[in-house]
Amino acid sequence: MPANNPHPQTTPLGRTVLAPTGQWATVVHNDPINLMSYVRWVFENYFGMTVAQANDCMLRVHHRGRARVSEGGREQMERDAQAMHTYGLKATIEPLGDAE
Amino acid sequence: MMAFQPVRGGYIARASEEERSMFMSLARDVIYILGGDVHEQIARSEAVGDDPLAVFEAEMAGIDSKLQAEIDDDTHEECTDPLCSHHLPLDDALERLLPDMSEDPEQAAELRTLTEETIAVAKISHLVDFYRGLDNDSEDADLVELPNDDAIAWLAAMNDIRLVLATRLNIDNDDDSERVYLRAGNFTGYDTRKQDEIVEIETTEDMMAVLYTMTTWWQESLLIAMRKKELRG
Repeated sequence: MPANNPHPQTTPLGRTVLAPTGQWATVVHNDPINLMSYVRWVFENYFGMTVAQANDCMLRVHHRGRARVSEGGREQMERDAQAMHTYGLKATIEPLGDAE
Repeated sequence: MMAFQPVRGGYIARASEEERSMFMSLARDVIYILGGDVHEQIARSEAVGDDPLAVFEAEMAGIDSKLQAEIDDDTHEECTDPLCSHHLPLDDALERLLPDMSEDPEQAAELRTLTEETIAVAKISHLVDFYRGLDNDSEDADLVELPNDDAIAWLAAMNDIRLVLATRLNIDNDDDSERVYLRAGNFTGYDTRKQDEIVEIETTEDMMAVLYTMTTWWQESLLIAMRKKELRG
């Protein structure tokens, strides 16, 4: 599920959106270490999600084991996954064709 | 230890010299796992000053030369240090710090080549900021001062420390995590039912459980303090 970003192009943690369309998704995977409050903070500050969006997304990761956090071109997804890893979240990129 | 509190220009907390030196030691260890050296990093950043590009280039050069030294070093078989990471074909902690970026192995390898060094450099930079921030000789010895600009680095650094400790403690699911926090409670007295029964820490594993719990608590307090600041506007 895409995290729509109606806010300005650069988020507090430096995410800039390169292209609005593409065939890839970034997926965050659940882990027993990261605090829920930390994961929410990363989602809000990197993706520019609202408090509610970040919470929903974090809960999806927690309960389903994984959730798509962004969609777009492959290069953008690589940047997003790289940022997730920098903050200690487990993330992978996958083609959008695969079912969520 | 005292939780982080928002103040003008940043945050403050309190940690004894012993506590600060434990966190510094953990930061140093995680930097080492990532292929860096905290003292080298500090010396290098003092040499190049604050130009971010110069710092970045110096860090990349440092990692390159370290990798080259490993390739050139054919005497390592004689090393007998059991903690030396050369002997660990797959260091779980390193794997957790730098996990695969794709469920497809070929793609994961390609993405690792593209991104691993950049991520490692960023993590090392956060840990060095954390280390330096704790290494104070102010008159108020317990005071920990965190400027706004460094808050994200400290948050990320504490997270990486948690990742490494959790991996060493074999925390694979929420039950494991709960068990570790409960166990740590025996030693810290945070479990108020056991105030009279505080036990001495005897094993490395117990020590790690306590450190993990402390880092978790401190990180969460910083998150709360950052939220408070956000709300105040």
